[in-house]
Amino acid sequence: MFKVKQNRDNSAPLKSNCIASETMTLEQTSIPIKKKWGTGGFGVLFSGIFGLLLTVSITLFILLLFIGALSENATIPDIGFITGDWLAVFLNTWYSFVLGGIMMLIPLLVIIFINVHRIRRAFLDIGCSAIVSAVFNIVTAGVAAQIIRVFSGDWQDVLINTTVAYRSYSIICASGLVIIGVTCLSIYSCIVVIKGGRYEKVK
Amino acid sequence: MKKSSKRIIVCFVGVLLLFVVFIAAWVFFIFPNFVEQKNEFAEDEPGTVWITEKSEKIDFNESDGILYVNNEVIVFIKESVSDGEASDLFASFEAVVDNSMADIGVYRLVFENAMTYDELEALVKRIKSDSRVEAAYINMVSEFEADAADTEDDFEYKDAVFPNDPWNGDTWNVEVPGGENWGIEAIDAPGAWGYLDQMSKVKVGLIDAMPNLSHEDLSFANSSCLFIDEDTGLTEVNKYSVMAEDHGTHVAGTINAKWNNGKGSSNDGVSGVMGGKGELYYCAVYYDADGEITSKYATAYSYLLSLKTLIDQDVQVINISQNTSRLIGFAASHGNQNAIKYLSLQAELTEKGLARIIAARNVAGKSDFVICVAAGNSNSTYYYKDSKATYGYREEISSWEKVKYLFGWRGKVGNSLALYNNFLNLMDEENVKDRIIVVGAVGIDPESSTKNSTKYSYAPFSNVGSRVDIVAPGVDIYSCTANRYEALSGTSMATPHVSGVAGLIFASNPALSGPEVKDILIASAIGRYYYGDDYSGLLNANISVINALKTVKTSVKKVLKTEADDGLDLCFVVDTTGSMGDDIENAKENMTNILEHLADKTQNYRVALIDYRDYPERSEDPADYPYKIQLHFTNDNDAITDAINALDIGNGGDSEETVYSALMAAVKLEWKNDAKKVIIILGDAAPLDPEPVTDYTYDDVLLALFNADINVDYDNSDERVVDALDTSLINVFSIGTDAGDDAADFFKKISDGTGGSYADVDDASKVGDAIIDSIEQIEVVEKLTVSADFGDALANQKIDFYSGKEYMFTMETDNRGQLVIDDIEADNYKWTSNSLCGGGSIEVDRDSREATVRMTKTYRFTPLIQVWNQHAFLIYVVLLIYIAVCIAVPVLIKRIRGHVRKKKATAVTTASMPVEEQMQIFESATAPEKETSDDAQIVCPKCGFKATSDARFCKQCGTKLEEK
Repeated sequence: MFKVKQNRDNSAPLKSNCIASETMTLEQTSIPIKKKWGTGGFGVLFSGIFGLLLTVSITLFILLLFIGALSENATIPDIGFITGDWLAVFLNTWYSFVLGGIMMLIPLLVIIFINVHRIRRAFLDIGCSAIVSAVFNIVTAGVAAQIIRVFSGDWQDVLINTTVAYRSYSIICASGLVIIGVTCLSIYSCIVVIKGGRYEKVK
Repeated sequence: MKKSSKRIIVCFVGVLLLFVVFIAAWVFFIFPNFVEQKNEFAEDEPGTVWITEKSEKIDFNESDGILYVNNEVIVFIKESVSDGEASDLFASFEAVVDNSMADIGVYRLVFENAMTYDELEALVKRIKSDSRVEAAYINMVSEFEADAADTEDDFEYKDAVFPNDPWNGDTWNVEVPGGENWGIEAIDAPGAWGYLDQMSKVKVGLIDAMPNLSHEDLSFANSSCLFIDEDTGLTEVNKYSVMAEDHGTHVAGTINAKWNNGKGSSNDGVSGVMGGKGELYYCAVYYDADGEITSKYATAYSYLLSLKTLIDQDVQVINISQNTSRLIGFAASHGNQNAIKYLSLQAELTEKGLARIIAARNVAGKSDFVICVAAGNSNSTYYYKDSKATYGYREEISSWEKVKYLFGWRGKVGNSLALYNNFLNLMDEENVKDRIIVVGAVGIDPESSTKNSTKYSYAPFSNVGSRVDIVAPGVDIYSCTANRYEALSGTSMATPHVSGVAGLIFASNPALSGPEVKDILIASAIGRYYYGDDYSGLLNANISVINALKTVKTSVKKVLKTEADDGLDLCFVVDTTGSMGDDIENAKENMTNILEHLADKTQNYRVALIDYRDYPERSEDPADYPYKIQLHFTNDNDAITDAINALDIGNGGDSEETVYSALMAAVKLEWKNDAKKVIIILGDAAPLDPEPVTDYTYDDVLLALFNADINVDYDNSDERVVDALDTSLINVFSIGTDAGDDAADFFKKISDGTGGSYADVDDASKVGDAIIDSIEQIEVVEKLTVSADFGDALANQKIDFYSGKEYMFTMETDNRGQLVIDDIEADNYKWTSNSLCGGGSIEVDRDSREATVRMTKTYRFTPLIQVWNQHAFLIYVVLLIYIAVCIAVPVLIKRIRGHVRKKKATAVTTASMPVEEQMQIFESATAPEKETSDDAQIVCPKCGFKATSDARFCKQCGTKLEEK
């Protein structure tokens, strides 16, 4: 029974990882294999960058959902040249939800695409992003009152009594993100255990 | 013993040692330095032991918990006793007599030798038995600590004035108070300063730690440091110079720092509340023990002496930002009888002395005064129950309690009553209590304040209870300190705000009495700041000064509380002369209906009944009378019906009756202070004007109707307040039954003049309906107490209440999501939950006296938060279990795979071997892992690590291993 795994360095000769046996040896011909997507240094770099983008987009999406919910019962003030009315319309329709969703989906899909040949890395990336977002949510929940201090008076009026609710909301979201993150990291670990971690065979 | 067992034991011992080290570090280092909640608002408490060690004249009676001077007795001589008789009395005792307060009949006897508590009690008993003595007391010692009409009128309102004091670079914004001067802005002192030109100077005093008398922003008119020599008992004034302290200087600065005096030397000068209209006086008692001076304790007598020293100098406002032991106050708040007795005895002595001071000043026609006292700062301080302690609690936490603290145990905290913070707060004689103003503290609520609005919340450290009269800014208050300027917190800082405004009220009208100043302060306060079930309003200098100035312009002390919100007091004044027979019969027939309409109007009603006829000598009918009170105010429907049915008809004589006497009698009934007051007069005859015998005129009656609850001497008053019709206190609704022109004119005039209405009835059968119509026209503002249920999801949450868009107050629900709202009108209000589980409306129904809560404002995430609030613990547990599972799964897979691989390896190598070898291999496979021989190993080409033959990757560097 043979199991052939490719070395990280594709130029190196392939060797069997079968159970050592005195009677069996395997001579593998050194066939050059084309480098796969995301298996090199750039793959790791892009994976990290899009992981960060995913973290930011998750956090912003959670914030967008909160502000959107608030806009149902509050008068939204202007933000620069964007009028409060326009903002309220945007926040109260499915546009905001879809936009936020897309902003989150793009880095997610890119991460999966980059790591399509080593899917465990995608799980690692998504899991870490989710955990970091969760931590970020908890931190913002803790300092929400201080953050609000730097806003304009009108925005303070809208947000000032929401800090307690935002705290609960952030913790709920963080809990959800922790579940997603832990699940992804667990899957990642399972793949590492089953397929050999750094020496996972690239399909 | 097996090696593995040894390892387990070593690990166990190690963990145990670590735990012991941790506990020791916690008890001796972490807890005292980082965890223990220090009360930063009050200074260190010296404790009874400290005091008794400090002075040999002071002893502690442990059984009662009373600190006392062991050689002194305070004697109150009866007012009828002359000085000579008093001297005769004291001659029989071998004691030095301190007659500092002889003018009010209070003496201190200082004996040469110390006595035990029992001996002193026996002596007091003996002195009391003398007919010349009114009261005698042991001289108790206290520890002293710093606690760090919406009517149109012709009043000329003025704009706020902002002084040029720099306030550390802060600007003025009364609309949105904030920054260093937020306290002054919050009470709208700049609004009050607009009227400074109408005010005179007022003397304001403080009993406190020594202020810096030469501070650049302070100017003192007088400072009296009373040094009591512990050896001789004699008192000397300003014998030593005392070092200035921050506390006293801070308090003085808030009251009367120099106003509009430009920059301080480093741009940090402040403005006193009094706007320069105050003259500062300082007084405190210091004990001199062979040159060692302390003000940490004083006797009740010396405290009274300090008060009298200030009052004798015509000081009208006295600020006392001190408590008489936080621990004792806390213990008394939680029912400790020793603590209550100790404070009560001191209160009794001081109260008696103050009552004499007040009486003496009234007789002499001297100015009146108020005393502003701090509520105390112990409401957030932890105390620890101890059955062996004199007062049932102690302040120090034991080592064992520090360990328990780790596991969630805590001492007792909260419900520390302002009543017991200082024995002055405990004085309950009305005459004295009306001059004591107890002040709680509020601070800016950072979680609810924005750049557009500032909200305040009751400071958690501030003591609570119904004895708190008013609240004022007391958190981060910027003012003078001994050296420069600094922000301090505490009810000590809130109290001088009230003292300053009380001073401004006296400055606006020096003729006001102490109780009137207190009334103005409380009536002018705005908002509700809850502490438990009680609440107070926030001090407002501007409204207070306007109300005080209005009292100058009117000939009578004008109404302070214009809102009648305690139900309805209705007095029927009925003409029972011969011509009214049919009308009264109809009223009797409709009585049930009338009472039903009254009940519909408000359930909180009382009814009185007066009938009138004429003087018997005028009507020549001995059965007649000018008036007769048939029924005093009652809410007993049967009594009301019986009284109406019992009315019989008299004569009355001519066409004019004693209407004025009846109305005057009605005015003099015992009306409830805050009830809507209405008279329904039923008659057909005009009044006698002026009325014989009494000389009452229309103006007298009108004046009486206007001033029903401010005790004007109607009989002797010649004053007329006919131009103040809008503020009528008793509304007269008149029903003229086939009345002549004169009668109709009178009824109409008095009804119009008092805000009532007139109905002309030409048919006796319509009298009942006319009464009902009159009742329907009465506008009753009724304040209710209702309970509201916000549901379990809002348990222990703060709820903000709004009337329309205007914020009213914030309350907190109990652990079932319920709360009780006091003094609220039947209406629809809005509420929002700070936790934003929702918002909605709350309907307060007058008839059912219930509040119906509706949630109309919800958010997409509201249900989620509700579920979270209710099941947070369960969710956390599930989350932790899930995380554990996620960690366990890959670990489990790894182990299973390793196990399977081993089995497979064994199976492959043994397949072709003899049974003995298979057995050996099986044993070696199942035996604990041992170091394998070189033959069975694979060497890592990268790092040289020797791995087992079945390893796929190097354990050390992760390099893939080649097959052997």
